[in-house]
Amino acid sequence: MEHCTNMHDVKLKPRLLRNLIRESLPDEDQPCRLPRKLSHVISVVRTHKLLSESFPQAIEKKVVERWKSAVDEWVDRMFKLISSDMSDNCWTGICLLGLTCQECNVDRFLASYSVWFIKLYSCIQQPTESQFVKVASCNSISDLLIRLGRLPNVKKDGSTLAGKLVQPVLKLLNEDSSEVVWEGAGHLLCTILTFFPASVHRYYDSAEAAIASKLLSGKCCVNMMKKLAYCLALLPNSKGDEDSWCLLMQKILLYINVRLNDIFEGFEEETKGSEAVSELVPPGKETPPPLGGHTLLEEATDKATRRSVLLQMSSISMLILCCCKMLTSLYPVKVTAPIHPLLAVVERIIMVDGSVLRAAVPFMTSKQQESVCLELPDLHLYNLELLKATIAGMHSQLLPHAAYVVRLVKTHFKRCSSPKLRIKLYSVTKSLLIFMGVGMGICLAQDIVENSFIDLNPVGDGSRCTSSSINLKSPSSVPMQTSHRKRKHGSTTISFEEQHEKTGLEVEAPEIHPSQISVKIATLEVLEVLLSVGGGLRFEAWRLDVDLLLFTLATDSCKDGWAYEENSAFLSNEPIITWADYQLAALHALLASLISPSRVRPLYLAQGFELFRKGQQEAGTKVSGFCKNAILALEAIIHPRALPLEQPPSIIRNCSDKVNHRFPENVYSFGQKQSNPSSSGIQELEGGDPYSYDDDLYVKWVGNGNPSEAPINSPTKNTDSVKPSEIFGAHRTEMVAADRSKQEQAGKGMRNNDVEFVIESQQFRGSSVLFPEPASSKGATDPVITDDLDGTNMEIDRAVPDDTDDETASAADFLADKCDGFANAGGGHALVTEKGKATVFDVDDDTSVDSFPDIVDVDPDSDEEESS
Amino acid sequence: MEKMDLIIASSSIAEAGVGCWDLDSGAEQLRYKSCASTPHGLTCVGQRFIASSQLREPSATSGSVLYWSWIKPQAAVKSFPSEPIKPFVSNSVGTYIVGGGQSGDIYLWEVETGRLIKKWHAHYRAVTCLVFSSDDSLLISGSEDGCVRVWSLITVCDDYESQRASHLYEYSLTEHTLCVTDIVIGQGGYNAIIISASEDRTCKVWSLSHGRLLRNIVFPSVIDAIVLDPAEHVFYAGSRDGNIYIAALSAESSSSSSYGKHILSSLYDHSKAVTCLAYSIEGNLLLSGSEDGMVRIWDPRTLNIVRMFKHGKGPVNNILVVRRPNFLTLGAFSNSHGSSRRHGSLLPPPLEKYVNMDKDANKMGVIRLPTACNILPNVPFNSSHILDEHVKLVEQQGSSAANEMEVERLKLENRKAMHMVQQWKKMYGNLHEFCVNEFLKGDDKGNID
Repeated sequence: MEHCTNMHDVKLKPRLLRNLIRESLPDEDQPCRLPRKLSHVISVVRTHKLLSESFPQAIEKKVVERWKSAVDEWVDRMFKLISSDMSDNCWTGICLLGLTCQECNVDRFLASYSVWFIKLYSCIQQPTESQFVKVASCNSISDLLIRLGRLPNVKKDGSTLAGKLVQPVLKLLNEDSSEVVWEGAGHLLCTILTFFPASVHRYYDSAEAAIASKLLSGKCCVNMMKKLAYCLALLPNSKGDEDSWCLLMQKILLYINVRLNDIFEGFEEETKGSEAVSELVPPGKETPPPLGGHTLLEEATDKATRRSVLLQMSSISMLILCCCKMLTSLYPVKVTAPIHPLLAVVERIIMVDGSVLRAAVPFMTSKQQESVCLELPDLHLYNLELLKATIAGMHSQLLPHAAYVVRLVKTHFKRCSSPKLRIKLYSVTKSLLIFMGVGMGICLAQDIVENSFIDLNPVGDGSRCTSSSINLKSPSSVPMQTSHRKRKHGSTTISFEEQHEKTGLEVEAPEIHPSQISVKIATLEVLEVLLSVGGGLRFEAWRLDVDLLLFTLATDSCKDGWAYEENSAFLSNEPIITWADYQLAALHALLASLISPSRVRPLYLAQGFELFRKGQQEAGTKVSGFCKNAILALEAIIHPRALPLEQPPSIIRNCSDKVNHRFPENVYSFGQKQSNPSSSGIQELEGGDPYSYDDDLYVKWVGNGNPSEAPINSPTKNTDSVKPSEIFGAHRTEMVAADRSKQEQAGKGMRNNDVEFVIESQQFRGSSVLFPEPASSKGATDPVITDDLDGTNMEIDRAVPDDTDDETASAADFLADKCDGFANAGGGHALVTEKGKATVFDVDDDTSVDSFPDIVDVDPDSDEEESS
Repeated sequence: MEKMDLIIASSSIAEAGVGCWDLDSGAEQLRYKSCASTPHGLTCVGQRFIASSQLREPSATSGSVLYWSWIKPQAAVKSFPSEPIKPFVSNSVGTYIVGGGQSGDIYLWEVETGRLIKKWHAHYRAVTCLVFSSDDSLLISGSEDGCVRVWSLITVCDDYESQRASHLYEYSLTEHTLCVTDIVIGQGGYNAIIISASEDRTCKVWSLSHGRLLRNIVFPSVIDAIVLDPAEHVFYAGSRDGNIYIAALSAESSSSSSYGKHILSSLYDHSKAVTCLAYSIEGNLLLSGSEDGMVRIWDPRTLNIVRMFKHGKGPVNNILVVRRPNFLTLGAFSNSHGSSRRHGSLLPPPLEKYVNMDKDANKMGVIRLPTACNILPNVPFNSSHILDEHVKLVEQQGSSAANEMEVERLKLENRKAMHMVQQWKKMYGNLHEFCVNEFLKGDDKGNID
């Protein structure tokens, strides 16, 4: 027996497959009693990819053959099983053939899919087969079609195959009595409509009738109905034109409205129903045929009186779901959607809250009202889903209807009270805000803020534990908050422990209900978006309150939570997950409130920072990951990088003339003329990155960052060993000329060194930090311009060793005399040349070397920026 | 990565048409004919087509707006709004177009249907420039009377609110003393900045969130065009003296610049007045159009010109940087194959002249559902799942189907057993017969014996 190298060896696979066939598959003529093993077979085939027949490049032909024959044998066995008399064996074979369709090699699939299809197709058609066989064959054929649909060149073939299937599938839907079979047929129909929609074209009407009758019959479970609703929504794809989409949408809306007339009788003004219908079918236009054909409608109206409210409501919900699907799925052409009627349905449903009209009171039994009230919340939930889908469907065409949508959202805010509805409503609001930005912020900010105060305010919660609500009782209790904090961190350990005990006790007390936590999370998310996307144009009114609220919520949640999380191992997992989510949402919102720009420095910056710092230490949690990002974001506020527009330009500017160094050789001839004069002060343009230039704090710390800029920026310039002065040609000032001899000395002195450095610096461009000394030598050969006079002089005084003081001073004097920017630039060159030279010549002088190490840190930044 | 930016430029002279170049290679693409665009009057509607409002004779009573599809040089759709339209711009996805009229009215059209959704009186004198905010929800307009106004389009479209409110605008910024020549808005939602340029030789930087003036920059000459550096470090201001000034935003500026406070530097090429500017983020290039008919492309880092295009004799007055539409692969301008023709030539109907008072028309909306075909639908394979489910059912022995199968199995066993019984019977019969025979034989023998 030959042994394989390891479990990944290709040789192993045919053997494993054969073993499986021999030991784990049922025999075709034996009744099988080994279902457990079958699941194992599937998982083994998947993990080892036993059917994939994928080989590494170099492999013996023998192994290929062996595997091939093993798979052949597997397929053979499938066929035998399918042909078996015993339905047990038959469905096993069918399911495993479906698995084969997913797992097998592409070539094998292409070669044999038509044979497999015929085999499976025969199973669907036999009327007497057991349910299992029918369901299994529906699903296996669906898998076959999915695989077929994903391969590029067999679309046409797939379409013909799918076309053959439509009628048998519809027959199953219409005639079979078992729901399991309907589900299988529905699944197959979905697949056909998704991948080969055109094949249903010929049977469009019968398909619509079959689906609609099942959907409205109320005989199926919710999942089945959802699947059917999905099928119905995909149906227009089979024609793919504008009309069929619009017609179906119109039919559905009409049906919904007519049904609503029945259900809402006595709950709303009677005119509403007829208004809605007339809006859908403008006067003078033909009423479309009812959904699913005439017979169906008659049947339905007959039954309507006898049917329960539950059934009617559920069929309405399902049709709403179908609308949602139609509005959000792919469609090949643009369509005219009845947006106003859609929104009108949304409005109509939300306006009914179960209260009976005064006029209708005598005619309404309390039972009737109860049954409607029982089902209303679910209907409202689907209704919100419809609103969301309509918004998504309108996409960028929302504008003419935006005002209507805003009004609907506001109505919902007033009328939705159950947690589920509020969560959904907040998610609708959130997507609106993200989508429409500032404009929507203006419209909705007020309502969002008011409602979030209702939902987030813990005072209303009876079950809220007391220790956590101390800080929240009054929204203006910041001082209290801080004193609380002090006490906790103070030396009075007793009080700390006391408090610890207290919270420990509180944990045992009933927590907030999970659904309420979810509402809070949804609210926090909306507030976060409101703060980050667009808080509206005049946000001062509510901003301070919201900031305070978010801050107290975050501190509160985390104080509780971290203590809680430690104990959490003993408790069940579920509420802890939501609590952690709540913490995360609170922290997210807090960060948004801290970094969202306002006129004043964020009030709770320090406390917030502390909170995030603590959160960061909770290693391995989502909270710690987020806190890390939060700290990074807040750091920019603590050390402001970009200067606000309103402030006058401050003290020092960190400039260096990169412009001159980077004269490209191939510029337009006339380009050169104006680039020099303009060199003063555009340094900040470099990539527009505020971080490396505007950071005056950084400049202060580093001392003088200038000289280091040049060397790394322009290594290519140095290779041609041109004297730096020549680069500036005509623009050199007399003063520079006077210094030329010194400079040339410098150049010569450094030349050898220079060449070496150039090579190195090119090799290590990214890591040029490593070369402090060459960098300073560069400073000598390649002058750096600084044009900010005051600043630079100051820096130079600090940076340059004593013996160059005189020169610097004189340079400064000279510069001070010059008044036009042009000459300043030239002067700048000279100035720094002096300085650079000094540092180079005093290589043995410790101070000169010491004064520069920091400077080199500047380089990677500027370097990257330029190469990018 | 393939560079995708195209430059589109138009001028006030109809003969020059609309020029179109590949920014990377510099190759000129198709030239769209006969376009005498107004300043700020050229727009590319959602990458789908090019549209421009046309300069009209002073005596003309109606405006003129032309559409060009990407693949045809002739204007394909002509619309005639009720008055000459000056600035003309579409939102970023190309669903709405706004135009500013001579009378100070602003028109808002829906592109897909050509419907005039809203027309409102925005300014006392002609509207000179219009710009959408980065999220397309706000519109900022500038006028000849020096007024800059910020509109929330949701509020403007809301008939109910607009009747109640005393004014429609969110802000009216009135610091400019002369005609507003250009407006740009930065990134960042409500925290964005607005920069406006005016004939009073100033550019003003405003905060959108407060409607407050943040910075006033006085230039040596009138600024006709401004464009923001993508990172909003500086902005570029094209002036009538031919300079493009670079003014500081978040960049620090010295107070002692030779040009004036906050002006850092300038780009100059002895050109005539700079009339329009654009910025290509992809190439990090600044584009300027000039009265001398040239389009210059600058590298803002070196302040050098990297390329020049000759547009025509007349002054260039609009430049756009547009991403090349997907269906226009390189070279597809000339030999348009089927799919590009289908994509490129389907233009929406012309813009309507008047607001449609018919209520029903406003109730429908033409929507474009996504049609992406490249992403395969995500439908899970199901057969193994079904198998698992059935196995579970069989094990539970609970379902009718499982029972059915169990019955079947029992029947089969029964049949087998019956068969067996038959066989046993037969065998017994045989044996019996044999025994009887043997016995009888023995008997016979005995009898014989």
